[in-house]
Amino acid sequence: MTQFWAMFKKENISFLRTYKLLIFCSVFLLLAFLSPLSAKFMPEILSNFLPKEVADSFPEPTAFSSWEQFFKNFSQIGLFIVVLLFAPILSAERQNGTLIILFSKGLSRSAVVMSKWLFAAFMWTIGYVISFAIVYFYTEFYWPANDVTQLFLAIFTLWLFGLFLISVIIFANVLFRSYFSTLLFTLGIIILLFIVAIFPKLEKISILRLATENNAILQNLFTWQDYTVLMSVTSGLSIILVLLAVIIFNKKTV
Amino acid sequence: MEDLQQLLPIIIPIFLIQVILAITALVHVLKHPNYKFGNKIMWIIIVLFIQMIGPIIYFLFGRGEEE
Repeated sequence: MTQFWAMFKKENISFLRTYKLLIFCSVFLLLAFLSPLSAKFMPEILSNFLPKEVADSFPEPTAFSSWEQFFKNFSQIGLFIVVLLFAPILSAERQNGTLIILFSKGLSRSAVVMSKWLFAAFMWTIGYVISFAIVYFYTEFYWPANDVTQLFLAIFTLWLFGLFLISVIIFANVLFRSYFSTLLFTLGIIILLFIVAIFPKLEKISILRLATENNAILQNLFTWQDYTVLMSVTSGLSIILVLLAVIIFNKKTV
Repeated sequence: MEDLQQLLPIIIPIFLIQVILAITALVHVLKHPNYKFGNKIMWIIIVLFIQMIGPIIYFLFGRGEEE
């Protein structure tokens, strides 16, 4: 466990020193601030471009528009930044050869993989919760009387999707040494998810639904019961991916 | 104008984040003259004039290795 926490701390420091923490925080905060802002501003922006009759036909922005922007931003740009920043989390050190010294001193390989997964998951959770708090605050501020329900379910599904993506990244990091192979592998998995989403019969295991149906959840089209199978499948797959990563990394040459 | 005043509490933090990012990137560009590609003037222009994305691109792709 000492090794594990030492690696975890090291990961924190390297995230700070490579300016990734700065990028991560500013992108997440900016997306959070932009969500209510663009929801509030959108009708005015559109009315500048479109004829008056068309612009007037748009509904007034509500708390729903604000959350819609939040989910749109985070399921696209937010997750993209997560993939971009965490893709070299292990492969960079394998390329540099800096891990070999630590392994020769007796550092356990499982501790390395697990601490990196936990660090990425930790950052994603913290960033996500803070952004959520900001959007929540501003949404309540601009639209005090709103009837948004099931917010927690909608938030939770996207968070789970993020964790799944992080597990995929860690797995790809163990398989490949280069940044671009990791990115390509992750992209491949996402394309696979899109293909699965095409077939209505596979609806129950279509993981992509976690990141695309958040607005439908807010409109009360789904409940927790609709997601129990999907959530168990996603968590199970994530755990399997991380375990596989640990097993493969234990057998692989660094 | 009332609209603008209502939006100030949200515009100020956005503005601050962008300024902090741009300044951090600018200081880094000036202090570390090794880039993966491009030269100092190019990076200064990118960092200062492309909002948000400029500094991020610099830190992710343009920043050279530490000595």
